[in-house]
Amino acid sequence: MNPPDFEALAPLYALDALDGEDLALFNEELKRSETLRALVTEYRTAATAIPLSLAPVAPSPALKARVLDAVAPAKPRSAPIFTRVFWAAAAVFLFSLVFLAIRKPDEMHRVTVNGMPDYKNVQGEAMVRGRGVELLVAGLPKLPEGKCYQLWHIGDDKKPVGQSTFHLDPSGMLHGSDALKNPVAKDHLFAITMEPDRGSKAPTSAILAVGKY
Amino acid sequence: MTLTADRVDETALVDQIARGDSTALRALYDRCAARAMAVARRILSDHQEAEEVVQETFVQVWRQANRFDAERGSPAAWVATIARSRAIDRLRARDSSERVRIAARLEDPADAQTSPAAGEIAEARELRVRVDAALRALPLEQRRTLELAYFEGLSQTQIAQRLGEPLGTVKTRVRLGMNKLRQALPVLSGETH
Repeated sequence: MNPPDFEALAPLYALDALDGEDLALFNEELKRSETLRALVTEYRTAATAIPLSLAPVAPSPALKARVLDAVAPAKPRSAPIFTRVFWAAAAVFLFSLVFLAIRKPDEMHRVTVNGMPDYKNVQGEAMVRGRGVELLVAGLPKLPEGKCYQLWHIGDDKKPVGQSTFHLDPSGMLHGSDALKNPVAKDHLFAITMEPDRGSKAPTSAILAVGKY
Repeated sequence: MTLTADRVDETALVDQIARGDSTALRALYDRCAARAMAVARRILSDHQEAEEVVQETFVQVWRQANRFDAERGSPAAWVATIARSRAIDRLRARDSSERVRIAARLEDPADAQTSPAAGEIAEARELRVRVDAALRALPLEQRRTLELAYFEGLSQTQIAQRLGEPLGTVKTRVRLGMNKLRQALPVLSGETH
């Protein structure tokens, strides 16, 4: 059997498309031949051009925060995730106790706020009394510059009504109060999105967390 | 800013990332995420899954920045290559019926993404148009063969089976297509972005 034409196989190798005996023989030759290695590098460079023909696709604004959040635990000063979740849960619990201590039980409704599937670490509560709402949520991604979190109240008409905007406190918690524009009724929803600073008239990003009254 | 200057800046960013500078990661993300997203979405045809790939890609960049070799290509090409590899891993994990559906979408000319993208800098747009023109100048069967290898991660044998062509024909198409691409884009050897 004649040896393969390695130069002819180099483009396939550069595309990771070589297989079987061709691949085994090519790998052997590659160890021996500097010329072949240089040729593969040239073809690999050409291959990297293929995706350049694609128009860029903007990821959602929240993705950048998720990426930065994902690498944050690797930094020396970051607390381990279980520690942060523990303190977040403890803060929610203490907040509930304080709130219960100063409110009559029949005047207050507690709404559990949970993260959407992409934000499973998000947890918190909205304490609703009349039109007043106290919000405490942990586990939200750090905000990019120029962004804020905005609370939305979604009533019977399913139309989100923008409420106040919030930033995370130094411990990474969203903590604040608001006066709802509309009365709350059964099955109404609270939602949190990431918006440009000062908020939006309508949500411009996906919902990160939601709670049902 | 020229493409070469961009490349130098990006290489410096990767150096900073290797030293644990998350601000540099943020800057590299701003430059490269949309390209990585385009690659992942093209391969997976699923926006949400593509975002997961982009997230994994940049976490890998963060962890492996010290392994980046500037002599083997630009940081942008490195990021796109990681995104491609991770997206193809996911694609391979899908069942065969799903892959056929994806393949049908890739073959649909309407799926081609050649319109100008908002926010894309002029130099990058110029390069994209140039590469797109070089790819479109290839005979359709050569271009299709390259795309099956690059965007679906198929081996030469799998491509031959998919297209119902002899293995030798596939090898020839890849060789001719890649040679034409290499000749049409000499600038890429120094400035692939």
